[in-house]
Amino acid sequence: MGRRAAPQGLHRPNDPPLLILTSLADGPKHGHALAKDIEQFAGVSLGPGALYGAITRLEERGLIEALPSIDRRNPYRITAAGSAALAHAVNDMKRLANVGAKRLSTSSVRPAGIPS
Amino acid sequence: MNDRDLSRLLRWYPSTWRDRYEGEIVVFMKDAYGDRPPPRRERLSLAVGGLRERAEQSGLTGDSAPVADRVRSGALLVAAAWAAFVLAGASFAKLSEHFDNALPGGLYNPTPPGSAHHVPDLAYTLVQTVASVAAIAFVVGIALGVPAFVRFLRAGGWASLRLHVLRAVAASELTIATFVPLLIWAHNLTGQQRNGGMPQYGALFLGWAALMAVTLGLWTVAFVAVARRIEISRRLLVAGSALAVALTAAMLVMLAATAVWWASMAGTAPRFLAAGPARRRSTRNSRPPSRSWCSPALSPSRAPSASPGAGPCSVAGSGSHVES
Repeated sequence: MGRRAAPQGLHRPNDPPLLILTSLADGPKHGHALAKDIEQFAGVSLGPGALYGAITRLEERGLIEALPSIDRRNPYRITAAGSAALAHAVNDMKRLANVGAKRLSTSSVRPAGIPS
Repeated sequence: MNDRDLSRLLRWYPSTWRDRYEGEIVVFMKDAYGDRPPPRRERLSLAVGGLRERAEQSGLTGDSAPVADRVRSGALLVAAAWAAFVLAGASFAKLSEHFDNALPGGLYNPTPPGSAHHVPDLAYTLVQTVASVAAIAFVVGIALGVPAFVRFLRAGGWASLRLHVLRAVAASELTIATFVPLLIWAHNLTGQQRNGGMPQYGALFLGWAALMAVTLGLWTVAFVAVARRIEISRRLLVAGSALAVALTAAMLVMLAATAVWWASMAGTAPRFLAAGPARRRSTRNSRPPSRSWCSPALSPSRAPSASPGAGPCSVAGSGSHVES
């Protein structure tokens, strides 16, 4: 079974790189602010290992970049390539969500616990 | 926690990574936890993250390292696994000593040998044969890299290896120095004393075995350090990869054969696996067997195995009385 490759390894909605790009789309943030923002909008608590592992990969691939340090905190901002990768991933998810919603609306089985 | 304590949590990461991110993570932890120590979950996150980063930088995972480096890292991982296999193999050799005496038709198991007797024998022979072939493949792999190693040394590479090699040499000297008195002591002990009957000797032997494991580990580290630094031609890389694949296959076969040996021993001579080393082997002065080793009156749990008069049943349930 084939799978269309997502750009820059952004596969799942809870992938740390995708969460970081989504958070930075709103403006530059340093590590702790990123973690708090991600927890707020996605309900995902990223440990320092996962967070900085993802930051390392994103920085290597030029999807984010570090800004000058402020009080020992390094803010990061999303690059043009990062915005493009995020847009691609969001479109993929949107397409999947649309297909899912469409099929659910025509399905004879109603999802339990979800108001119609 | 102060900055230094927090920095210590980052010891799992490679030094180049720490140079770039250490300060940031320390501030991150201070922002998140203040002066309180970070919870265990966060420490684990850092440990896992550090190991992942090491795997990434060495080329074992991810796609950031060049293909040749990734292939080389894979081959080195197999070499390190082989070192662990050597230790496991030594333990298995000790555990399985004289197992054939416990099988039907063996020295202490008068039950007529049936077809079940052949399975552990065949499995054991397979382990030995494959281990020998794999050891030769490993030596061939090392020999292939010698010219590149010599070129590396001539180009002044010794300085980067000095610490690794000196540590391994020092551990080797200590292992050899402790082996000699251990050997002399062992020579004056009975088989039963050597195999669990004398706690002092057992403790010293275990200490020596641990030292041996450390020595092997340090040589493996030195080997990996050499292999990561030398210039490897494409042909040598291909040959090394082929040997790594062969070594991996050999380890899988040995693992399967060991499992078969274990299962068949559990079926045909379960007492051999249940008995401890001291019970598995007899004293130097133990009498030859005069009756079946499975008599309840002389079961291993009741018989004083250290006694010079202890019969073969006392030696184990395993039925083995041959000294190791």
